[in-house]
Amino acid sequence: MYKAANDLFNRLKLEKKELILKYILDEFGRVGYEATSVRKIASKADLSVGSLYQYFNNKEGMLTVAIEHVFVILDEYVSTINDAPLKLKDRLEIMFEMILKLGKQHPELIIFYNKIPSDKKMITEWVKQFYNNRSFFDVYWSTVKELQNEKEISTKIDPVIYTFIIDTMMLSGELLQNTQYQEIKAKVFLEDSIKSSLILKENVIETLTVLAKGQ
Amino acid sequence: MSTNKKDNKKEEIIFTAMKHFSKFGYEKTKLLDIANEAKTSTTTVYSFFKTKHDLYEAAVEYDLNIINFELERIVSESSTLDEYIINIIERVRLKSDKKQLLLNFYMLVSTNSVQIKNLKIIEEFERKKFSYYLKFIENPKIKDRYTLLFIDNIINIYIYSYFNLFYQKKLLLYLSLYQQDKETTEFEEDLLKYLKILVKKRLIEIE
Repeated sequence: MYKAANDLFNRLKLEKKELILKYILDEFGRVGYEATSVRKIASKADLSVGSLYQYFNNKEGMLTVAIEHVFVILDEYVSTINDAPLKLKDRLEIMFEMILKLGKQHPELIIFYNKIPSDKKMITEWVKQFYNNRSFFDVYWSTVKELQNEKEISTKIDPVIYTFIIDTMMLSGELLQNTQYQEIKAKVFLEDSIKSSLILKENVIETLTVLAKGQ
Repeated sequence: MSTNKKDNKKEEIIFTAMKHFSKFGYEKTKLLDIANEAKTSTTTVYSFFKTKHDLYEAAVEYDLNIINFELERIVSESSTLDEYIINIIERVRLKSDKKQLLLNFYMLVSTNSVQIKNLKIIEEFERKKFSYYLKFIENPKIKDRYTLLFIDNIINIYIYSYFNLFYQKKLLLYLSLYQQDKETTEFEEDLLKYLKILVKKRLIEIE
């Protein structure tokens, strides 16, 4: 059930809905809102342009439901993180793995996410939904607070900054995926050591563990 | 046109293109608009660049050159890594208004939704950027290399909030987590403090 979609769309089979939304995300992510071609999405999803408009009214409706879909996907990964043991190392490890898995299973989502900062329309809609459904942002934040209660993270640490740093560090996992610029940058900074995600993971966790101890 | 005049025209076109790509994105940018703003014709634009994509890559090179030039200056004025980091953020803050489009274009390129054909442009830029860190770190080990990458990423994501709406909104969300109202300046001070800890605990600096 997508809140922003109409019954006609919601009544479709789950796989069908997911497939349509995947193509929508992919198209928005590749060319941005204005240049997105409804015709192209229709042909990829093997639908008529008319039925796409029946489902979403207009392009704006497509964007709204597509972003709702992003948060639905993210929810699954977020709850896996929440279910992990309440130890700093375990939590950091699962966060890293979830981001990596997310990128592998949903490359269209990474493409879409990377496009947002350069597209005004996408920023507006994303921010609107992000403030209500904070997803990864929330799980990082609540994990830090809980780990401070457990003294796994020093209580002297500013939890907001620490959350910000976790967020940024976890996105480093992206450099193992298909982001051209980040790939080149990683090759320059890391030389041969970039071959496995294992070394990256170790370094992300070590760095965040050092920070968790405070001064 | 004389060679000199021609070069000036070419640079003006690249500069205008950079602004347009930054403001409207690759897909929405129109060569005709660039030509109009640079007070020239599309024929002239095409005499320098065969395709829109060629012009885009020229704009990327132009943009990264300017940023590199700035970084080079900042590193020469800094005597420790901490100082270098602080100075970068300071410089971005000072320039974020007047150079918004230039900086925003850098953000756009580094999250690249448009694939670059001439990878050398990016590689050279990142190589230079990495070499500036090496002024403070001798023979970096794997661990040091990762730490430098993380520090560079954190600086980048943070400075984006100075000139890009998406990152601004994201930072505001972070600030909203504080019970009392906290200013961005305090956030920045604290962030710098943690970057300092990283430098101290994860890197061995040249004395």
